[in-house]
Amino acid sequence: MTAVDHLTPLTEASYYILISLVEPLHGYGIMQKVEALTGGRVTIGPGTLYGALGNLEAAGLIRRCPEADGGDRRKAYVLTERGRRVAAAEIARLEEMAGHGRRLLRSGGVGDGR
Amino acid sequence: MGVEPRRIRRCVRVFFAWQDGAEERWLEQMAAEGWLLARILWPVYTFVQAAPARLAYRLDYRTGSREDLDAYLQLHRDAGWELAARLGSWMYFRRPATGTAADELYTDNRSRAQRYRRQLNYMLVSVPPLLWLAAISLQRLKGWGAGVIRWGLVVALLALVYGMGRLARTIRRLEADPRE
Repeated sequence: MTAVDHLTPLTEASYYILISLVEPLHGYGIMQKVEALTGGRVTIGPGTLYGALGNLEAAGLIRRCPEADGGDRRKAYVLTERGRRVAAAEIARLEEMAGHGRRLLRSGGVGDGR
Repeated sequence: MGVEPRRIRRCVRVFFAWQDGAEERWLEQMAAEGWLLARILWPVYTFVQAAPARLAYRLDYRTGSREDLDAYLQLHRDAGWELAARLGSWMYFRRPATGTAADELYTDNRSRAQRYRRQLNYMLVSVPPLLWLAAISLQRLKGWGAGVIRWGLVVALLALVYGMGRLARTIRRLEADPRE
């Protein structure tokens, strides 16, 4: 299992792939879910998705889920405990970033540096 | 109007590793003129005649196991990409062009860089065998054919090194781009 340091902060694609896998899904299922979730704002191409699945699996954040494969060539994946922890840490980081942004922009941004 | 035999056209083309973009544009141009890529048997490209179409061709460079290949191709099929042809590790995909992000296999710079890095690593591995062949040919081969083989090896090595330099530059540019 390789370190996750080189994967975090997660790219937008990796983040959406990771949180999509709270339930077992195969590649195309992930694409559809992310598309629906973001109203089409985030599109993940098959090359990017295939590479990200490999990276996330190698880092132990997701694992293969053969019982959900459905007997065809599609491989299903699901979040691991480790992946869940990394996703939670990432959500906390994003919330902190959003909070800082809101606070500073609301203060008017006219040299109010307190 | 009976069933006419499908017309076929063959083109000879040498494709270098750093020209994937040019290769894609060329195939798209052929499709616009009504020629669909059917097969590549290096360096011969076979096209069949079809209705002119606006297609997006994209090349991927894939290294991996045979078992993974099925899942890889299935994922691309699901996403609307047809495998038009293969040339070694090069996968030639196509789909009707939409003019949106759906026309891309890679949708962020991080994964684009990783794709080119994969290709670069593969080229690096092929340098030692070529050097070894060059050394052998210098030692053992004599006479008329030896010069031809030697120069062939020199040209292959130069092309390889040049290609790796181009790829390294592309990777650096992609990794320096603040957009993912």
